[in-house]
Amino acid sequence: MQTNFYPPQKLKILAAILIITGVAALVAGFISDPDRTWANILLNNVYFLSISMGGVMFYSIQFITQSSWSALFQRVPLALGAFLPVAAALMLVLYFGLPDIYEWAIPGITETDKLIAHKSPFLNVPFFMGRMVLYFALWIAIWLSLKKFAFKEDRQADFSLYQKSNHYAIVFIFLAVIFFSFAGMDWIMTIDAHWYSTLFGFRTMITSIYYGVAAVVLIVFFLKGQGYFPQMNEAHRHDMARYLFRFSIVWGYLWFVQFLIIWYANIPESTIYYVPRFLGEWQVLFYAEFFLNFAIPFLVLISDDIGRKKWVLIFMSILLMAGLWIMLFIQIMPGSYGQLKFGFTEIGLWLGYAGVFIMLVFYLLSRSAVIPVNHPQLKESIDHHL
Amino acid sequence: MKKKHIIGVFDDEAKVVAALKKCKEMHIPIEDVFGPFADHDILKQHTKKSRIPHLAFFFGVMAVVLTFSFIYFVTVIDYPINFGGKPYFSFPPMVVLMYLMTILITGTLSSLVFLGRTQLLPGKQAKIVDPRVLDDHFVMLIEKPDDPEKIKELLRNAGAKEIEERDEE
Amino acid sequence: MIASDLKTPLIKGNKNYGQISNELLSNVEKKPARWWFIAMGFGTLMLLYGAWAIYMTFSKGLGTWGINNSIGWGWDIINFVWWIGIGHAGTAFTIFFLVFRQKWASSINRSAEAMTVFAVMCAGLFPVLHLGRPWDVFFIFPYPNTRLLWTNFNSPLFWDVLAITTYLLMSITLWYFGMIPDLAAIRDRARGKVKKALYGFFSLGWNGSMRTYNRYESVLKVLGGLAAPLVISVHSIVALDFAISILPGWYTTILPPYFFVGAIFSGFAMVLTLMILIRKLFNLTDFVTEKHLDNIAHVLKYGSLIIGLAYMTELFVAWYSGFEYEIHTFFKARATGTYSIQFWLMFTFNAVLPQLFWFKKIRKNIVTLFVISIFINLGMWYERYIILISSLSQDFLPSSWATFTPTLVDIGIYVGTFGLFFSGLLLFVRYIPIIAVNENKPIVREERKKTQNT
Repeated sequence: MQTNFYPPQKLKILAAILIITGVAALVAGFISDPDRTWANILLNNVYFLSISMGGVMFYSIQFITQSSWSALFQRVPLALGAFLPVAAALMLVLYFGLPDIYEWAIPGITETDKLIAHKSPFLNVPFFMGRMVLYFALWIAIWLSLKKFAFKEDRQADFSLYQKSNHYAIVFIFLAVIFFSFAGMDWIMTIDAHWYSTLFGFRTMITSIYYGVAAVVLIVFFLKGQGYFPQMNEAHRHDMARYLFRFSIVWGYLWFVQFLIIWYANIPESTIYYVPRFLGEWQVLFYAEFFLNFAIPFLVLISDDIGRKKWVLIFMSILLMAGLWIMLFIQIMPGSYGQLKFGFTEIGLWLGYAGVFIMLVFYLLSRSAVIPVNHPQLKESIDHHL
Repeated sequence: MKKKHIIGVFDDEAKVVAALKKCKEMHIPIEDVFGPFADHDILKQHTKKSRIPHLAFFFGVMAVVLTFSFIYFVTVIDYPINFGGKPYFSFPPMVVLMYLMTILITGTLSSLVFLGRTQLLPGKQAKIVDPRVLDDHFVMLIEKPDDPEKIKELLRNAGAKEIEERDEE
Repeated sequence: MIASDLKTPLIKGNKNYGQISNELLSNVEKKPARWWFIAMGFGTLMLLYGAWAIYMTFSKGLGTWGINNSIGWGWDIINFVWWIGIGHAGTAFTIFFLVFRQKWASSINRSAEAMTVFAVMCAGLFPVLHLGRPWDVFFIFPYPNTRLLWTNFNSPLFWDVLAITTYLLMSITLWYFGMIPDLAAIRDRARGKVKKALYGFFSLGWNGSMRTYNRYESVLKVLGGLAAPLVISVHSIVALDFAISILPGWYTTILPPYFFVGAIFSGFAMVLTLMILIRKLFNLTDFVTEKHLDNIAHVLKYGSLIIGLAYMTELFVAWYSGFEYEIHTFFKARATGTYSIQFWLMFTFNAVLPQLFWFKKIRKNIVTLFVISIFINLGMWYERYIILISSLSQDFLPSSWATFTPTLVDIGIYVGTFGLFFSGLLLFVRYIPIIAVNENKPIVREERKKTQNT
């Protein structure tokens, strides 16, 4: 059983090309339209951070629920956290673009806008940046510990490492549930500074697990194609399909519930949010978001037999990667940049971030065993059958 | 001579699975296996996948279509009423209703299909093949075999506790 | 789910199938102990109090309640939501077992389902009782009528009727289907003619056929798969009763998932309360082990975490919104004003106390488990009280502000529902196997295989 991952040369070249494209898009973007570029930086930051957080949350949940089925490829969701330190740096860089994205960060806005003045004890640049630092410090600290225990376990079987991972996983979930919810509110909800929704943060946090699982699926299948995880069988694919299916329901539920309540009560301060998105020029993307994230995965994965097929899982996960982008695009753009534009800035920046993400995740996977060789539930995972 | 049924009583489900495999190899049709719980290995050997889930999906689709049609008819065609300023054709409430009706109709009809297909009816007299079958023993029932001795041999080799020939009831 | 118990058996005592049958069917086959009759007596007394209260409500009208023009929904809807919340545990356990393949749920899910059935029955009383003209209750059903009127399909109040009917039907179906093989086992072991006939009637001719089991497993999977979205939607629709209004404290997008998590939370707490009693009274400690109670405590701990997060989010966003009525409701009426005692009791019992379950000592001690589980349900009652009464009593117009005091009739109906709930459960533990015999036999076999392999 091949336990060490050696990144193929093609992968390294691909990552390099993607990163170069990203840098080009970044430079061109800042020259032509800095507002739009800043908004895209925020979008990609949150995009890849969601996948990272979602992956590590999935990893933690496997410990908490003592689920053995995923033990075989547990290093993959852990590795998704490799982007966290870089995400922190990239988010901190946003400091320079805050007034271009957030209305409340424009200097002097509190003189003219009474509502933002009321919110200014919370929505001010120092406190905002301070919170950002706090969130990342906590998440990265715990992720580093989880990584340390995992790598140690690879070198020497020690049940106490599993127990330590279990405890830290619980702490991570605690920190992720509370602070990623608040981060969602901080970084995205405040773009529409006059609007609010109590569900927003919770939704950002929970749906990140959905996308984390999709990313895990894609990476696991890539590695399987390279010859790793030969023992992955129909039963594992079944469970992956079930995870995606259930989270598609959760996504649909949260999306619908926020919309229904705001639509029904019809209070202008709240419905203003949906006017450009549902009735205005963003309408096509609004429906696309619904179809890519909910309708298609739900209808396709409702059948066990179809969901278990490798190509269905891969296709659904790719769809979800696009779905996440559209969801964040609609959440971020109307309130920040304000214009619906899709071009080289959007594509190039995303590709650049993807390159960085791929590079970091696969580098981490190559640092230690790609299969948790001393995991107490590894045998159960390999024996997993329908 | 009238053909009789053969039953084999086992006290271990693994032996039953082995016996079933042997019977499959020798193309001996098993009428049924009885036991105190659903053993997945036995089910895999002995039964085909049930089509109830496929029917359930169909019921669900039917429920969505029927509910949508009904609510549309009521709120748009038959008696449109202005409820709190909502448009006559209000899709979000329809979603909720379609959702609930899907669950209700799919659940009810699937349950009825199940009861019908398995012929489980209130007050039905149970055909108990052996009183220990709901406690801790498994029983294989082979109906009117052509070669009873071969079957009895097979069951004995598989480790059956008791083997019996019985008249039709 | 402590890591060290990866190897702890779910069923202790290394039993064989015969032993399992004997032990798990004993509550049906043996005569009930004296405490059962005493408890049944209490249950009946509570039911009588409730019957009187219902009689007063129907004959004299809603004036016998403490509600008034401002606070149109009082204990009726508080208790309605409270009971529905408790009812969610049964379905949650069934989902844990059938959908998430959590094997430990199998020794609890039948009692939990029984709890659901009776809790939903209790909850279902209130929509009828709280009508001004209860004799017109059939207005809610959309049948062709002489009034030439349809119901308001856009209203969550109507969705509630559909959701709760569906929930009651599905719960009873899942509960009943699950027990058919066990009822058949009792039928075969029964010696008395009446018992044999009765259990024979309800076991539908079950004979242990694997062909039947095949379809049985399949339909249970379908029903279990349906129960999951159903349980989310039922409490979400109850939440929508409030969320689609414009009242501060009611109109908030987090309410549906918040109610849903709260329902699982209070349901699990009630299951913990009951299972601690049941396992002792019926000698089922080999099947409902410390690990099971521990797992429930863990779920309560995480539920409490999410509820705490929801409270903090609501408070924060109330301030963040800048909407003076929202700020008043949360910070003046609830946190520091007229209802501050109930608010902080709610907060402590729901978001703080269950966090004690982080400590192993507290989780291992049966007394603390029992006490905290009761406080959780008390806290959840206060939560519904806060949501309803504080928002209704101090809404937009100060001239319509009022307070609410429950009357003996209000209290009577609530006590009556307790009577219904406990009497129902007492009948359950006497006539139906508490733990699913046919689900637990394969678990023993799985465990034996696991210990052999390692």
